[in-house]
Amino acid sequence: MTILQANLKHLYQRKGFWLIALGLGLFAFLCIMAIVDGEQGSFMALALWMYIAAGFTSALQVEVLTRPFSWSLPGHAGIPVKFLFCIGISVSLFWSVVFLFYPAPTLAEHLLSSVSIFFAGTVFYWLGAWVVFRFPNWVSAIVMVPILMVYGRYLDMYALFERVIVDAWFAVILLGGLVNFLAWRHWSRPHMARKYCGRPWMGAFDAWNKEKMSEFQQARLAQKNKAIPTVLPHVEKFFLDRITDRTGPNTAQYIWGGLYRSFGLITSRKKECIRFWLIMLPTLCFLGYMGPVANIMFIMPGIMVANMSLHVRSTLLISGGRTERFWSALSTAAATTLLATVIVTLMAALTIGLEAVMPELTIKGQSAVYRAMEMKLFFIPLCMMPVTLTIALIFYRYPRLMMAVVMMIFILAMQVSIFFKRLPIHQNDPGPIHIIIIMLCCWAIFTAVLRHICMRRCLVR
Amino acid sequence: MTNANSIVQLRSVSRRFARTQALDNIDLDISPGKIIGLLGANGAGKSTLLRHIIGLYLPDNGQCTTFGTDAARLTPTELARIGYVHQEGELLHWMSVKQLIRYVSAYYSNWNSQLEEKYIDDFDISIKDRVGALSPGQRQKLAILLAIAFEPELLILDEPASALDPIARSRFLDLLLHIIQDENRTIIISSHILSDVEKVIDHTLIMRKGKILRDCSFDTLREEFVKATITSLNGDLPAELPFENIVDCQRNNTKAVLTVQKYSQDQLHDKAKAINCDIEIRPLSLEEIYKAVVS
Repeated sequence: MTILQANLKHLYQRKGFWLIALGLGLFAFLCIMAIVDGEQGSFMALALWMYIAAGFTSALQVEVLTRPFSWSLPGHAGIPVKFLFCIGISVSLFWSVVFLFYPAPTLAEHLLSSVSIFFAGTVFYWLGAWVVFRFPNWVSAIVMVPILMVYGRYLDMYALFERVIVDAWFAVILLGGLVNFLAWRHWSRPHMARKYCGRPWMGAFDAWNKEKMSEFQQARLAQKNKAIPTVLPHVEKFFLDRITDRTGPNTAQYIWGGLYRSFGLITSRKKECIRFWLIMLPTLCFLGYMGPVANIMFIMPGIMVANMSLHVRSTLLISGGRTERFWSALSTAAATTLLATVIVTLMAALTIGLEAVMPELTIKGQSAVYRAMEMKLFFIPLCMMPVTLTIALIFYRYPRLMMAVVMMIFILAMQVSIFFKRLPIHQNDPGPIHIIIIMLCCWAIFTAVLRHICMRRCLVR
Repeated sequence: MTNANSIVQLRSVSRRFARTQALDNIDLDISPGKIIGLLGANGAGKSTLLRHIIGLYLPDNGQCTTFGTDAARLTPTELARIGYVHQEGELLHWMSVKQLIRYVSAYYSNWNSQLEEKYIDDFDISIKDRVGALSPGQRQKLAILLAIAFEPELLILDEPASALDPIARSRFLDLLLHIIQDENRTIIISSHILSDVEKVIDHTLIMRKGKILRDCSFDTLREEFVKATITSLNGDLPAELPFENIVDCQRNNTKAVLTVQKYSQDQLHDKAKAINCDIEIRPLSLEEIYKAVVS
């Protein structure tokens, strides 16, 4: 078996990749249907497909390159470029053949657009590969894709793509040839392996893996000349004054200790706080034009909290026993939930203010009115976060399974709420009593699970 | 080592992880003032045993009691008497060394600042550095500092010196010898660097596959196993050497090097004399004893 063949085996040996392959397969099927039907969006869909596919295949190579052992693997230096080209050329060829079914007036146009598609596909493929190799946390670049897809239609990108690929085929072929040449040069550099060896890097699902996240953050902290955030002296003093044992051990000091571990750094990062709101402001401006989609902000904390550590399973032995761990974790969970609820409620309030000043937009004859987030949904994080934390406590060893369960539960919850809204007996939104009951149930389950783990289970990961 | 005043008692403690029997019906008593070397191969159950003592793990069967309290119900009062250095050394990476020391010390009313300062000086710990940016060795030094600075009665060291350089290891042993001077202090040290461990321990626990193979004083173990070099004074050695309990034997026609068990020096001399041989006896190092026991 050649080294290249061994690397290509990663495509089916990694079980996590099967899920991605399934997703890409479904996306490809939809693309093929759109191509055969001659839909204008086919070109854009193809570009996005190539971009996403490149993202995942490149991730496999970066994973190998960042491992220290790969540095000394004989004959491995030239493999990344061969691996990427092998897949890139194969899938581009596939799509160029598929595009022969795209309706075109003449045979010549058929063939030319097919060749043009081949090169256009490789351009987007290399763009995706470059993003993965360039950024240590590339997942964020990939998740921009759905937004591009939605707004591509508004900005008439679909038609633009078609015009460029079909009409400007010569320019596309030239550009594609140039990009492929540069890509070959770029990924064949002799110092590639040295550059990536041991580099901190996040894999496709590592954002949900606390251990990997911790390793990644630790490695980033260890980088020289990097601006490192620190706890402000008055923040440290505030917490330490409350932790300090003056009258003998008491549960309160462990609660404050847990809060310090979770919020000490966050509450000291003023710049990050300002940066967060500076990013959120345009995001909220953007989301407001998407109608009810803006309310997704209420759901986000419920998903993001899956990655949070409540320090239940910690081997840093301080003098807190199991009971103290329970109270500390419960307090941290409650404080996080309250903080997240306040933040999303502030966002909702901000959108209400923006609603008064944001203009009505007209794109391609369609008008888009800015709509504020629904303030009455502020209870969502209060209910969602304990559910996510419960799942995170149970499935802590299996981060991917944990995320899958979290997503499934929320999708199910949304479907159930839509179902009940359609029933004639439930004309109105849930009232405060319903919300309080749901919230109490969620917190009761979380507290019971947390208590069971703290008191009756092993506390080492 | 049965003692009514034991600070740690394990009674029929068993623990299984999936298919692995990590602890298999363990009975153990640890008396105060002992310096115990916990030895065993990787996966023998050493860390699991130590984690049961501090209540991080709970047994499937049996009972583990520390300072007279069920280990699962240890309160801050009891835990404030236990120092623990974990081989993977979980620390808070975002803090500076100074901040982490301040954070941990806040929990202990008996934190010894003088010992802290002395340790920082002796071990060249840079207190301004970020914990996440420390090398594994520096991190381990910090973990040791956090575990000893409140002068715990029971100090549990799980592979404490694995990442230390030779000089730091030597200083660490000096520190242990200094700590040992407090007669009430109990130290359980698990390590693969047996040459270091043997300098400080007075009791040995040898584990294999979740069972305790040996639980005895180090002196007893040293007396039990000896290495004897037998040289024939006249002609070849007999084909069958008249020793029982031979653990290891390397021989040629005129000379044999034996590791034997349960012989007094007088008995060995008598046996050698009986076959007209000269005998030279020397005690075994802990590493050699360990190999003899587990083999």
